[in-house]
Amino acid sequence: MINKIPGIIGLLLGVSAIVVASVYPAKTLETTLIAVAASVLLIWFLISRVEAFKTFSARRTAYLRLNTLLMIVFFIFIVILLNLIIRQYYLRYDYSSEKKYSLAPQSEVVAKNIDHDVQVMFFGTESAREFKRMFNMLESYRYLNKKIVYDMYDLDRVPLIANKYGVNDYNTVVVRSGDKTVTAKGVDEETLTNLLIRVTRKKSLKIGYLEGHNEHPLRDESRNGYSVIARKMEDIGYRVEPVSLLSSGGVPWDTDVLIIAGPGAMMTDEENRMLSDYRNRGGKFLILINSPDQLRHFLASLGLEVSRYPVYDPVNVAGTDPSVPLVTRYYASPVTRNFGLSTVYPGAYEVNLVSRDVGYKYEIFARSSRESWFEMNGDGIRQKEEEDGRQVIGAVLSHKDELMKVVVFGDSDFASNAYVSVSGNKSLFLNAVNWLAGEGAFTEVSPGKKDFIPMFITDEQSKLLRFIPLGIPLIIVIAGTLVWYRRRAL
Amino acid sequence: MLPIFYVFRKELRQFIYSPVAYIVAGVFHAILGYFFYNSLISYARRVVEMSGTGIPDSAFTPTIVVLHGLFNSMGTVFLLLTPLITMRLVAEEKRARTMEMLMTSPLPMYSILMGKYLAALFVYSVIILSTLYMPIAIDVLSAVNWTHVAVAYLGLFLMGAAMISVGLFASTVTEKQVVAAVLSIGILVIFWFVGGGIGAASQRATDFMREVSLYMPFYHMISGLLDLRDIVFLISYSVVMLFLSHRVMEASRW
Repeated sequence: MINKIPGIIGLLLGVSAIVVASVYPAKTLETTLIAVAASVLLIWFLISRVEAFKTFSARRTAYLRLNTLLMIVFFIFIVILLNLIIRQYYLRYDYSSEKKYSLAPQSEVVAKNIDHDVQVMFFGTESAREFKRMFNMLESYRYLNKKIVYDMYDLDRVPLIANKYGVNDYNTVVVRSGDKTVTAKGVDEETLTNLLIRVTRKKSLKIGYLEGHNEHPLRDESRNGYSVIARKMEDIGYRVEPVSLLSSGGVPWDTDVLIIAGPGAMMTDEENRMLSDYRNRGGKFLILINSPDQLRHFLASLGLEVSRYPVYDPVNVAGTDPSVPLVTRYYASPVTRNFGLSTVYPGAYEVNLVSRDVGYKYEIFARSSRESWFEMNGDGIRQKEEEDGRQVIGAVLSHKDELMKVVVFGDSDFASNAYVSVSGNKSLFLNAVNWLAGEGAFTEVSPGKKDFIPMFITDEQSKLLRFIPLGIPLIIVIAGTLVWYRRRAL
Repeated sequence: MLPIFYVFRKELRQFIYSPVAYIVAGVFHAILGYFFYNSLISYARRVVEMSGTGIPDSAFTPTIVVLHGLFNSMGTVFLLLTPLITMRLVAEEKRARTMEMLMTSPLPMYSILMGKYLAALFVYSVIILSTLYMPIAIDVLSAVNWTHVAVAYLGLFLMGAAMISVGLFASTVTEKQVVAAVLSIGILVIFWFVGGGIGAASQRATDFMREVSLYMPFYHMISGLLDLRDIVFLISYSVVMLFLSHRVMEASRW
């Protein structure tokens, strides 16, 4: 009985090690210690049983079979434990030509500096290439820091888990740490690294919401309010607070992003100066236009101009009139990276760059269709004198030397409670906020190696290569036949 | 060690004088040679096409495009060919009634099995090393990342070691070579294709399948990733199969 005790304890410890490893994957040290103890006890037990087995071998076969079975089970169990130990502390080297198992230096720094448990969940399609790519990427992060644990889910298989985290699209990443949860769509390293930054950041980012000019009410639950999107921003870790320029004497210093959502009244000169001060100290603006006049002065300082008339577009959501343009395709920009959902803009105006002297980089990401026009008389019918073309509805403004960034939409209703849940409106709004808050600029992950090595084959070389599929097998068969023939002749 | 060497030498002689190894090597080179020629020509053609359209979005090198595909094909071809190398290892001894002689000889059981295993592994290694002309030819025509290629060959070797251990195990459980070959192909196909894990009953089953797959560690290595977990897994797999073979042979003594 006594010599069975190490076996029993070893078995229990081994099972515990497997349970700890699967339930708490970040507890690598604990798992290793339990697994090592279990392995030692089991090896001791197995060696002692081998001796018993030898002395027993002259006896009944039934016991022998049982013993053999037990030995096999114990042996396989020890091998599993050894693999478990290696999985906690292992080495890996990326010798691939394109360095596809390595992270960019920026991501490595972020991953190594994480000091508390982070859980990454990826929702995709198992058979998709993105799934494998994400798996490789997450493995690279985990190698650098065992506090990062991950789960890969097929979205169609786990609707309950997906609902729990508000995931409704493929290739969505959810990152959790403590009570913070952040979400983004994308299978690229930059998205993941920025999510890790956001979720592990000690201080939560503050989104200032400009008030006092008849903007969309932030906490109002009515159709015109912004309560839905405000809650969503808070859900993903932002602090959303109203900002009154005059009462606070400008944009507060701790404001990371300022949202100006469809002001209905003109800004005073003093307020325009305060906005310019914020811009000059690297402020980030999300500007949503509701009419052509109210922000004219401030936008002009950025080289932008709002159209006099609203954009009407026959390409719209079925059941609505042309005043609700629908955008289904986007130009490449930091805001629309990995974004492919449709968005609608009720009562949109065009926001165009009219002055390039100010030195800003202007990137358009959303435009109305070719059939759209400026509706001058409001009858919804296109007249000859109404200018047509692809009007700019969304654009990004940045400066290579300054920290300031601006995302401007020609419409503010698209993020109101009435429209924010329509198709991709919410996602695009959050993309814009995320980028402004640092997702795009916080870490610009350098792209992976994209080597191109040409190879040219001449006609002579091609003829020589043609020998390979036939020549080499033929040589082998001739050699075999010769050996076989000589052997037979002996 | 000496008994292992004696068995190894005897088995190697068997391989040299029997047509099986030559047939396996010939078929393997015919298939791979055809793939190699096609891949090279297709790569060169794409390079010419790209000169008009610009440099591609992803990396485009002979190591990634040509050799990676070839290594992958080698794995799949060996899945079907290694059982032909291993099927006679023990089954033939049983059929020819020479197993009793071996069992009653002073040679320990492990040295008999290890000798046979190493001989089969040696033949397999010679076959994979004979494909070295492929990266050499590419290096002459263009450029090859030799560290990537070295890791890929290590992957091929370890994967082959695991496959041969399965073949040896299958050979110990029967005296019919065909049964041994079919059994080992069956086991290998299961452990090869579970890697995808797609369509498994649950997410957990998928994760488990990925963990026990022979294909995943092999794929990592032919992709240029040298991961200690993959190496230990493939070695463990071989060790477990050798242990099982040993137990089966021991059981036949009773």
